[in-house]
Amino acid sequence: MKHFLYILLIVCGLVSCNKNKLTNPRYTGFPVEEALKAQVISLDTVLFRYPYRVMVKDSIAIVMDLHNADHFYHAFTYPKWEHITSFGKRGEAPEEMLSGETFHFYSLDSIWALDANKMEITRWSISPAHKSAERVETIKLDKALVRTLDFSPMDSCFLVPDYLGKYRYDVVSKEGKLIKSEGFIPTENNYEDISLPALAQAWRTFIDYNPQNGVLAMVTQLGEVLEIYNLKDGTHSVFYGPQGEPVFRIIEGDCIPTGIMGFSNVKVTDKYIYTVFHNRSFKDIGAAYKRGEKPESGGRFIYVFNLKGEPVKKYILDHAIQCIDVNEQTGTIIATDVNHDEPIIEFRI
Amino acid sequence: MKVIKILFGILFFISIYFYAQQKNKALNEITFSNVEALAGGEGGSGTHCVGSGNVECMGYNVEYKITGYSLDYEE
Repeated sequence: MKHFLYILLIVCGLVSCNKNKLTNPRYTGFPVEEALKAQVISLDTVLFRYPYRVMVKDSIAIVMDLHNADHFYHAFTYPKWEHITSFGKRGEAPEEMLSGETFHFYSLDSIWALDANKMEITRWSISPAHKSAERVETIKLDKALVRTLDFSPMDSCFLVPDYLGKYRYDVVSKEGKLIKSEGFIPTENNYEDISLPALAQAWRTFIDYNPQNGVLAMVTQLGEVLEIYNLKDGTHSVFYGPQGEPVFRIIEGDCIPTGIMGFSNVKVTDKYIYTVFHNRSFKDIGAAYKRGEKPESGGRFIYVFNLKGEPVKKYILDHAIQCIDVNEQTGTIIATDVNHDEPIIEFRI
Repeated sequence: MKVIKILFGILFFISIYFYAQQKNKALNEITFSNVEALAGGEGGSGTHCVGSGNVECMGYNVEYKITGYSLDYEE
């Protein structure tokens, strides 16, 4: 009898090793809502097919075109928006890019671009005087990462979202080697029947890191989840919006989104976290295609949170946008709109 | 004592079995998505990549993904 009691205790112990069900804090709305009207920027050149990312630094603006047939990146003067040069040629040659996923722009010789299909991060330098751009260095990413869809450069390393699902983000050296992995996917569901890489696919996130306050913010492309890792004090917070976590189906290991298109961009400033939120259901997007219509692409909302993740403000836009560049000093938000021929717009906040 | 040893033996083999299953599953799905990324277009799972957008689909950025069997979505 005693032996059976021991066995029962061991079995109970093993069962209790399972993860406890997680319940994350929720936000239901924003204390302040404001409608914003866009001012359309007139460009002297037609270059874009799908202007997905924009970043402005001093007198230069760079726009990344996700689906351009020639070059992924285009540099302009700011605020005049005169074309300087295009770079990051699409192609299969060693110095060309298979994909332009995202980029970061810190100075004229510090433009970091991610090629997800080639698993490379390239640093570019541009010269407005010579109207030229050149590749300065290329970093091959560790094959252990499998795939990298976003990144954030730091002084001595890169932060990238984890694609294998066991962790939330990875720290990668400036030589491209995986150093360590941190965090976890904060799902409230018990997905015992699907593998972690499939879950990571569904929980694809966009990230931004601000070294001034140590805040690494992550937002999910599907659903409405904001995660904040404060790398200075080591805290981690998760906030669910009304749409909750990503909703999807797994068909033979592939993630098929079935809920909503959530966030498409996040920016961490010294005081706030700005996000672009779509809130479009894939059911509606699919129905539009079925009717032969082209659904509007992008989000008509900018959600602003403080650095603790508390909702601060909701901007309601008159254009659907993909990405923002926020300048709190001048009260300007530059955004990209892929639905119109004049795709660069500006909001005053 | 013999009964305990046998039970521990059974528990051990069950654990090894489930661990191996989990590992195989993870490996198969990674391999599968890599094959998809290389192949492009339609995947072996019947996944279709529709439109131009920013949803990852077999190495492409598309508006949305559907299975080959239905355009209908769950709520």
